[in-house]
Amino acid sequence: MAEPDRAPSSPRVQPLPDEEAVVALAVGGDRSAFARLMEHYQSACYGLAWRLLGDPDQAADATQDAFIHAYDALRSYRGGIFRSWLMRITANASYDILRRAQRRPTTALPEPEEGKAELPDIGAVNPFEEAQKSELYRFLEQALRVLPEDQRVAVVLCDVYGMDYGEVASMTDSPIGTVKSRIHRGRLRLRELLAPQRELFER
Amino acid sequence: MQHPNHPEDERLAALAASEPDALTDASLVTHVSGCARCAPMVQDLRTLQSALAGLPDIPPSRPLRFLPAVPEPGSHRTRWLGLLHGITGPAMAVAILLIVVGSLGTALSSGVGFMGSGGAAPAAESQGRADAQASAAAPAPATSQSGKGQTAQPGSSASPIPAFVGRSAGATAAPSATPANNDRLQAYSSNTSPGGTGEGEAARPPFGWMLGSGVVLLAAAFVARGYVRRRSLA
Repeated sequence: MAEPDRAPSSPRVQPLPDEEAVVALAVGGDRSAFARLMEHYQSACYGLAWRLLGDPDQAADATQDAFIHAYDALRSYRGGIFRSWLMRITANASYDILRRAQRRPTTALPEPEEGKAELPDIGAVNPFEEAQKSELYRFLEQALRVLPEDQRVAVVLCDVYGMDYGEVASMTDSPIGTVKSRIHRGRLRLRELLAPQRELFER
Repeated sequence: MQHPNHPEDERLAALAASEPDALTDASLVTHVSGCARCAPMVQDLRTLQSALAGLPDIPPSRPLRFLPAVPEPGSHRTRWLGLLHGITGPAMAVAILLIVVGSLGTALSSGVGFMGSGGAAPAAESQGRADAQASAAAPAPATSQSGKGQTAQPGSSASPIPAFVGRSAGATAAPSATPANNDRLQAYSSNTSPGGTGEGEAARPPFGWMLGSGVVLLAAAFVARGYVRRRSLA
């Protein structure tokens, strides 16, 4: 795998042009402004929840929970990047569901077999995305699902959503050293898993 | 996988992540720069991180609600929730009052004892108090005199016996034959069956019941308030 010429164009939701004003309205109690923000970021929240939970229904539940929590917590919002704030809430809501599943082993998520993970139609996110990039994403998602849960959570939060080690540690109630180790081991495992698709990274 | 003569893979991952302790590890950096195995691995890990950071957002699998529902004003549900919310405040206040009165009453009745000493207790207690006052006002006569006849006649005003003795005497022996005490005794007798213990149980205020009811009411009020809040957000 070689460094691509440029970072993959990120089909991720960008902040609203007038986001500061919309957030201020929402904080002031404007429900339609809040709804506009949630509608805008729903794909981002759902993507995070899906990657952490690996199940479409649970991901939708977690996203819905996150919207309710965000609505409750909006008055305590103290500025900063709204997307990051919302993603932290979504990650917490998803991680709560993961913890509940761990406490009830009968409902624990089955570990998907390699290459057989049920994946969302990522190509549909951006119909004009090059086919190869879609394929690269598909392999990445499949490989992420094969990782042990602790490594997957750490890698998704850190590498996919850009949280720092401290945030991941506090979210998962783990020491920073443990988080670092999980991330490193997760990346090494991903590299092994993706070795057969090396040519996708070289393009 | 670990190879002899190479750094641990996790150290290589740390270097790929540009962690300060790995970047300042001169031996690690030197090794990687000249190693045909480790250099591509570090490069691969960096490429992988870059690719992960580019993963796209995913549209939800089903339509989501962006706002907690707010019921239409004046609807049946709103009125019901409003009524429930309005009741919980006074209910909590009543519950706390019941708990306080019940706790105090229970503590006093078990600590002092007059609550459970029977229906004749008030008369006997006032009698004992009067005895004590009298004995304090007038110095006690000779010991041989004080021990005679006083317990048999609890109505005597010159008793040197301490108040608690007079109380127990009043509870067990016949109360003094004043008109007021006679009336009270008749009232007790007409309401309850004869016998000191039965009269005392009937007359005791239900402090335990008040305490229990208060706790149950308070718990119910908290549950109702939580329900209202959840329904408001659902």
